[in-house]
Amino acid sequence: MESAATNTTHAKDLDHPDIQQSIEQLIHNLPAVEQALTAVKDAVDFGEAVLQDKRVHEAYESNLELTNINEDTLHALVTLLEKLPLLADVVTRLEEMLEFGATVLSDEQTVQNVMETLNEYVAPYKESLTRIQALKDDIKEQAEQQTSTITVFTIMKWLKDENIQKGLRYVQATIDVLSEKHKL
Amino acid sequence: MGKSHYKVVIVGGGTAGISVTSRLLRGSASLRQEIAIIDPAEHHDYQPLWTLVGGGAAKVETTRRPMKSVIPDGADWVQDYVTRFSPDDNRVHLANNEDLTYDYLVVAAGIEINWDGIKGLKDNIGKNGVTSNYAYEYASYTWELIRSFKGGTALFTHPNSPVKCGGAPQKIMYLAEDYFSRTGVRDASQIIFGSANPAIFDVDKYRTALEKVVERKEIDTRFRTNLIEIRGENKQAVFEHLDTKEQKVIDYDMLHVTPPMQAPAFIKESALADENGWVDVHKHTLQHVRYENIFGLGDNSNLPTSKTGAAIRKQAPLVAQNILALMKMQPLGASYNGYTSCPVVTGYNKLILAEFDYDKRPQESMPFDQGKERKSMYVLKKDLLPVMYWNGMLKGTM
Repeated sequence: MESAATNTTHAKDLDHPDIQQSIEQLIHNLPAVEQALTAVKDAVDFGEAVLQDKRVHEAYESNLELTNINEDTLHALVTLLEKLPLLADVVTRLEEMLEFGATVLSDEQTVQNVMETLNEYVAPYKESLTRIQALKDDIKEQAEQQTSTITVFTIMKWLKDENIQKGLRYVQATIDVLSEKHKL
Repeated sequence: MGKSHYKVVIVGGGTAGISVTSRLLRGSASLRQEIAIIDPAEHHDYQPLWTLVGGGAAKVETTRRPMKSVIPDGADWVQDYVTRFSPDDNRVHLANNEDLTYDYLVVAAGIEINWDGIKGLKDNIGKNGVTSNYAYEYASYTWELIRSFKGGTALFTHPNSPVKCGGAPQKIMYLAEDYFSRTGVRDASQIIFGSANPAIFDVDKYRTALEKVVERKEIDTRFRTNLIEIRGENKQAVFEHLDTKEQKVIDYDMLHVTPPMQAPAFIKESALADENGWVDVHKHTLQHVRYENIFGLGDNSNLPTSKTGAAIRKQAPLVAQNILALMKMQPLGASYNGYTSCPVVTGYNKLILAEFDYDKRPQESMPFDQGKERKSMYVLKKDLLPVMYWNGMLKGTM
């Protein structure tokens, strides 16, 4: 009874236009389906043939013997595989850093801003250097112009100069401190 | 108009929109020409530097670039306004009456400044001693006011609304105080900070440090007071106490206003918004709570953290990662902890680098105490962060 009822339902389904259209479409596509299945079968047959071909096996084995691949290599491969997530992370970061560097260098506006900033920081030092250079030049010029002989009296006159006195006081203080330390 | 459907549509070409686009393109080459960025703006601004522009320590021109120059290679720029979202149809409507459909949507439209939110602000901004570092056009006027200040009352405000970069209202005040001291007008000046907030900073560690700065600089702080009116011609500012509703008029010689801010209207009125108008997203995945294929980040989201560029730096890679996971039908793995950062400039060559999470716990990146004012952190903000921004963050590598 149940089977008869099911058959009746199927027969009714076949009357449905959508189902009829689907069947028509399926029949229409059958050659293409058949072609696809043949291609898959060919691929499987090819695979089987390769696996069964002893000459192919031997060729691969002899090639393998010529390489340095051994048990150690395989262990290393496994270790590397284990570390791949970490390595991938490191390589990604490295790639990002390299790309950032390349972007900075190729960005004219950034390079210009960085140069201006560097100049801002370097400017005070440059100014000091220029002052020292100017002082050095003045001293050199004056020294070259002076032709008078330096006598003992000239040196005694120097001793009265405040800058010399200051320097000598430092010398005196250094001697005092050192001798006190020596006593201890 | 070209394509009408994109795999990913990004609303907003600001920090968040551009960063997410770059990250997505780096993550999957198949997304080339499959991402559209919708933004009507001609320019893209690096706003964090406007504080230093106002303080005369940076040039305003260096903060702006043409929008075209920051659109990542591989993305299409649709220069238009979004007027409406139809999330059930995966559709956004544009001002030119055309629509774009998408598989995934990222809403990163930023925050809107409400210049009408304070009576008299719109009429007086840029003149009568009234300025704001929250606009490219006025940041240079702030510097003009500071350098020509001859003494009197310098008034700084913080509004009763969420703001982008919550530290900016006080940073410019510290710079101004420093400049007044250097030019010898500090003794003849009174500096007032009228803030709607209950304290100088939200996070205990940095609050303690900043309270010391305020004390050292002898700044008159008036918390829970909100600027409600500016009488520009008389140079008067009207404040209302948020608890007592008492109003007080203060005469000023210069006034730096932080205007009230709000969610953009087209978001506020959409099905994407929460009850306060912000894009309603999950606080850890940044995925919309009702629409699986929509993500929101940056200033327009309802994430309970401070709205800063530094927060976006952490949010953008996470959104890109989660969208790519969704495309591959994988679970969303990336989770956001609310990280945000506020480099509080406390003077020329001084900065406290505040970094914290949802729970207001410090999340410091440097191997030293960031609660101290440091010159190195000032150099980081002034000279290194802009390079990192233009060449790293917007390119999806930092």
